[in-house]
Amino acid sequence: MWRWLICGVLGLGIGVGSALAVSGGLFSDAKLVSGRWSTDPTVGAAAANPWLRATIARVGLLALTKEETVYFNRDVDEDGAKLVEGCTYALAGEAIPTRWWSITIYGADQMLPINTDRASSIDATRALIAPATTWSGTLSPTRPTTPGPWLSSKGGGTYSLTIRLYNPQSVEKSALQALKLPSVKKVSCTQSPASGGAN
Amino acid sequence: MAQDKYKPGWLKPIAFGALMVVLGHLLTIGLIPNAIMNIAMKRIAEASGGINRLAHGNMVTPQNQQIVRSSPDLAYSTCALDLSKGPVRVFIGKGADYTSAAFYAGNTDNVFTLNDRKIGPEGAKIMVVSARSPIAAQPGEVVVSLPSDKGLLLVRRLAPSAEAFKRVQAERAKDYCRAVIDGV
Repeated sequence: MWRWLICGVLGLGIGVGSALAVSGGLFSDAKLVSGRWSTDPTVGAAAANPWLRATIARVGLLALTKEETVYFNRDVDEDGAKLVEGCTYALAGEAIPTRWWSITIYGADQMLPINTDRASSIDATRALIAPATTWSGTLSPTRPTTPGPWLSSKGGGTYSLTIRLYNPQSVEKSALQALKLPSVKKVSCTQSPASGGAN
Repeated sequence: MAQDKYKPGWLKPIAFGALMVVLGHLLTIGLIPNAIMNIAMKRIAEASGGINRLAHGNMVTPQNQQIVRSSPDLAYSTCALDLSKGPVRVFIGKGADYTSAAFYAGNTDNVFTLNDRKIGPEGAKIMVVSARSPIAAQPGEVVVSLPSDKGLLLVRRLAPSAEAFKRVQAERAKDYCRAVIDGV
């Protein structure tokens, strides 16, 4: 009898644990990649499979369908190293064929890092002021002295970035893959950055 | 000579354990969206003063964020929908910039979104019904059918600055979300 009890409890624990791990994004399998940014175009759609639906419920509740908004995420810099609070990164981008875009920083808990810098996001209206077609900014834990938009990583720990593309001109796979999304290049670190693999 | 006795092995308990792995995994995956949606609906209903009521959120900051992955560039309005006693009427005013009204089913599916490109200068009148409720839409109303009695409405208005947020507050002042029995 005790064999059945041990195996049953252990099995149930593994089953629930694996579901929580998968839905927490631990084994994220985004289907579409553009540079170091990745997305799953079925986000928000009724056709999303149960695993993706559970993942979205935990890490991106109330997402829109791709026709309305495409969400690209990244947690590594251009060299594939994890984005960490102790490092400063140079951001560079250009006009994107979408009605409006914004980049937001999220901590490991999927929430905005707690700070009072009022710099949790950069959006098209602030980064690309006409007639400019390119922009450059800074991602760092302290306010930079260089001009340009700033994304504060203070309190972020090991964090990720999300770029929202509202009403993109095309949601075809080839068009999304060809997007020139902003680059994130490491400039310096005040602590040893965590090593990271390819995203 | 001692007689061989039946000794229970591990094979069947391990097979049972494997079955429990699959069942535990699938049940958890299936329950997560509804469980999280129920929590979100409860919070939104509390913030709105009840179900079928529209609540306008403040500018999102790290200090007041309520939900994962909120955008500080958007002004959110929310309404926890309960269609069990009948349809709900929604009005969304035309905004000067990006505006959308997204309707979610109880399992988090985004079943319908209307954005400002499809909202006329008079605003959008929407009737939300469940699959089993009668449709009694008025002329000019958009009908949104949810597969479940429970759901959520999330209105997003572009507001990346304090000035834009102030403008949005005026734009959404006439927005509403009300049960038809409330006499809209």
